[in-house]
Amino acid sequence: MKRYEFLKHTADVAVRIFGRSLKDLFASAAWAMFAVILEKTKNRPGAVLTQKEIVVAEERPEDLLKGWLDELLFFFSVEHLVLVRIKSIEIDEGRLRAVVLLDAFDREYYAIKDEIKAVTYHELEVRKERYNWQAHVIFDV
Amino acid sequence: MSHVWDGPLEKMDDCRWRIPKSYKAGMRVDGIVYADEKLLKDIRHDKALEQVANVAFLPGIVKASFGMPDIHWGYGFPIGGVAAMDIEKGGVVSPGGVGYDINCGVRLVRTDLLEKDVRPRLKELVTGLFQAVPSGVGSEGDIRVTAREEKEILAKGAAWAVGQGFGTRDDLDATEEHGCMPDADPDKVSERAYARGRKQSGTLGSGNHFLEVQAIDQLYDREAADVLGLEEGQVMVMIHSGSRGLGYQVCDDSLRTMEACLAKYHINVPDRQLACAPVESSEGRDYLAAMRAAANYAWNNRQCMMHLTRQVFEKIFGSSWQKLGMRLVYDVAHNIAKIETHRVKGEERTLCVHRKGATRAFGPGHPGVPEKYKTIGQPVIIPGDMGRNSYLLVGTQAAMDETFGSTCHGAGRLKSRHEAKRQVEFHALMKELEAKGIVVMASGRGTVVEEAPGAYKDVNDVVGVVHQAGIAKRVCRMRPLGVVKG
Repeated sequence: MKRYEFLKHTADVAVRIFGRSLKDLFASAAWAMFAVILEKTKNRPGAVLTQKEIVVAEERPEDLLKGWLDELLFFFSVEHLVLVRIKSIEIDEGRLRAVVLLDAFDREYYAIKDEIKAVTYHELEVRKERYNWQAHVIFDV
Repeated sequence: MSHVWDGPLEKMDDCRWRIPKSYKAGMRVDGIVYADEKLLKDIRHDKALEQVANVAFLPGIVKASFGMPDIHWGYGFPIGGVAAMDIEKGGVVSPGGVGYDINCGVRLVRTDLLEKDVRPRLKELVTGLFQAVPSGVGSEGDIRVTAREEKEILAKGAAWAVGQGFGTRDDLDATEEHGCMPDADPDKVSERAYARGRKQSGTLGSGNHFLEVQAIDQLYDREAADVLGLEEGQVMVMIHSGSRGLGYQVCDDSLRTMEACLAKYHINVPDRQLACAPVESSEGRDYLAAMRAAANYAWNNRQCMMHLTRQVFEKIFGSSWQKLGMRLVYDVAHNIAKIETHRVKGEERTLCVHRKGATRAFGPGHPGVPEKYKTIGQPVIIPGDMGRNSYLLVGTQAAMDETFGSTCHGAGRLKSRHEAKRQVEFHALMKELEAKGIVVMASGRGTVVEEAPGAYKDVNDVVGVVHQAGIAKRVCRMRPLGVVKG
């Protein structure tokens, strides 16, 4: 199953995101966001990764998704850390707890695509389909 | 594109169109869009017109929800939208009516140099600028400030840079609000916003932001040009940037707070991103205090970048910037909310004017216009795409009467970034620009392709409409020589 597809939007980047479960959907969303920001150009042998724990509490799944992406965006914009692996992700009753591994951004290994200013609320949606989950997110770039 | 807006649009004249308030139950005023038939055809292809109608729902809105000819789909508010709310009548302030990049704006610097002086050293000049002014995603600058200084910047705006020796008092006099909005409160800015802005003072950023060396290629208004000290062939520098990560975070933080306000103040809006609060509420006041702080950050940022630019010119042309005549013509914001006094139905009212992708365009004689420009009106700077033109206009009385002293802000996007990337090939584009004598330096190829001239409406059409409508008056047109992109 593909994880995400880019949709038409005049000024910003709109993405439809897919997942087999809510957890899987959140993982897809994280990969989609980093696919907007950059592209890996070569492998980095012996990279020393940083481990971070992310905890978000929000009632609505949409807000939880935004909260999760906001944390990752913050790591990238302030600490210049790129998501490499999601070690674990648990979502239960409006609470997300995840452990992620991040790589230090380096132009040698990553090519920058777009700066994401924010994960917007505009047309933000998370819904369960018959067999899977879908989300719609617009990134302001 | 598949989506075409098919709501009601009544032709008022050749450049004004009305979306009647009867279109949707809940609209408090009409929508009015400035466009000609050609631009309108493109405008209909996204959700911008629906957003003009949605903005008309906001409490306290007076006259109309306005759309400028460069209007396109934003979040909540369209980009290219102007809306003013009467504060005494429960008028609201909406962070979506300002945008993520608070005080994104443009500054224009004149020089005494002519194109023929610069042409032989253009590559060197653009390279110098590219190296001196940090650009690109998450770019960080050499201007490092402590946490205390950061707060000072948020309170003082461009005056901070001038205090450091990065410019003069004259620069402040040629900046909207003198480069500093009073009543900014740095303590209303979150730690997270500070963290995102800390290393970004004096940096350009990415996306549509740029630093351009331009030459005036057409004069329209001799008298105004004389007052501004401009003539054909003269080399100019235009800087387009905003409040960087700090501003994005201020907007994001406030959208969260304000969403809860919709229920609290019984506000009915058709879109979550139109979250707002009465100007006279604690949430409204807090947002405005934080927004002003972010706006001040942006003015300081552009002041720092102009200083870096002047240094590069000094080095390359072997003369002081003063001797090179590098005076700031003006600096104007195009993403901002301001408390201003305007006449509504013959009465002076205090309004919260939202300009989201729209430029202030105060007419001659207005107290907000610098003394030296009093007779001609406030300079309005309209950046175009990197292959075509940019403009300098002045504000008019008609803009005061119609649009709360506001006009358009740029060319306006036509194609999505994605579409531009699919259709434009990097090397072909660089060749095309080179053939036009334009030198481009960018930190990422992606940005250049996304910002290809074909991805934008023709700025000449956009400016043509506002000039014809009288909500700004053309003074001169510039053509790019060298472009620094993020």
